[in-house]
Amino acid sequence: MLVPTLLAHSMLGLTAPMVGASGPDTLPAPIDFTAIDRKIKSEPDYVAKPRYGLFLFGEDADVRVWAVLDKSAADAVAYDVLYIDRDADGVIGEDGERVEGKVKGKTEDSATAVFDIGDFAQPTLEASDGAPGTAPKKPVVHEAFKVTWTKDSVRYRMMWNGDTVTMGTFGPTRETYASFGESPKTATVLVPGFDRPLEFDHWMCGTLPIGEEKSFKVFLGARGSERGAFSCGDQKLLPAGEHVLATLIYESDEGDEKRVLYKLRERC
Amino acid sequence: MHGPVRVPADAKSGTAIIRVELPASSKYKSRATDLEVELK
Repeated sequence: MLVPTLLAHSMLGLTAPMVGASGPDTLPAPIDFTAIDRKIKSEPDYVAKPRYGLFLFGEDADVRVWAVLDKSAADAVAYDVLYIDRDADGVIGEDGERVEGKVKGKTEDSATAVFDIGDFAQPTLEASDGAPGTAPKKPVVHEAFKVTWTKDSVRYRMMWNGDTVTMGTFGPTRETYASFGESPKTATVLVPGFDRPLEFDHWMCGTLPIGEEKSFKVFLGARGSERGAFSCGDQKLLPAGEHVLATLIYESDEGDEKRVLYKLRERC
Repeated sequence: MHGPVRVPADAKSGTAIIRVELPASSKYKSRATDLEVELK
């Protein structure tokens, strides 16, 4: 039979973080998405039923930047307005926080809205009074921040610190890519960038044939609040020559737990 | 990142785990992540 550890994690049905090769003492704790403060101080009068996303920044993932989608008109085919809480103060819709999207498509099913947020100075909690909203002394600026809405998912992309792609939303299949939630309580939480230890998810590899070879593909980045809300880097994230370790832990026909180590060296 | 994975012939069909992490020598720190897969 499967060992308890294997069973416990398989029952989760979700990506399950473990203590990694980098050692337990040097890593910040995994994010408890059930314990995140989802309080919003104030919101504008929305035209449509808003859709909520929440970006977490910082090593402790404690800088909360709300992204709320709205429509410019009640009968608009797309969510074409985005409020981005640039200063992470929980006040939605302040000056400079409303972005209008460029819409393509004439039906809800075909429409796409792209929001060009541009450079995004990462807010910090290290203000003089300890409150969010004060610009850091040396702000970290993420460039070319874009959010894209479609009926089925909400995606984003930015150049982390100006030089490394971070993007989402991803999951094990395209059908799982996340959208935004209908309330702050159900907001999709995303963790862009590389302030925290890298985590992993697989892509289109949920089933492996016994006795045969298959290419196993993984994203490198950070888990979000749900499957399909993974944020990842691109194929240039790891320096040339670096690889990923993948250990298959399986039950043999005799009921023994066995392990096989593979090295994933190829770029997508 | 990707690479070939060959599931041994003595594997029992059903749920298995692939534990993914970076080597300690990597530029980045990682948190080993257990990914559930189905063996068939």
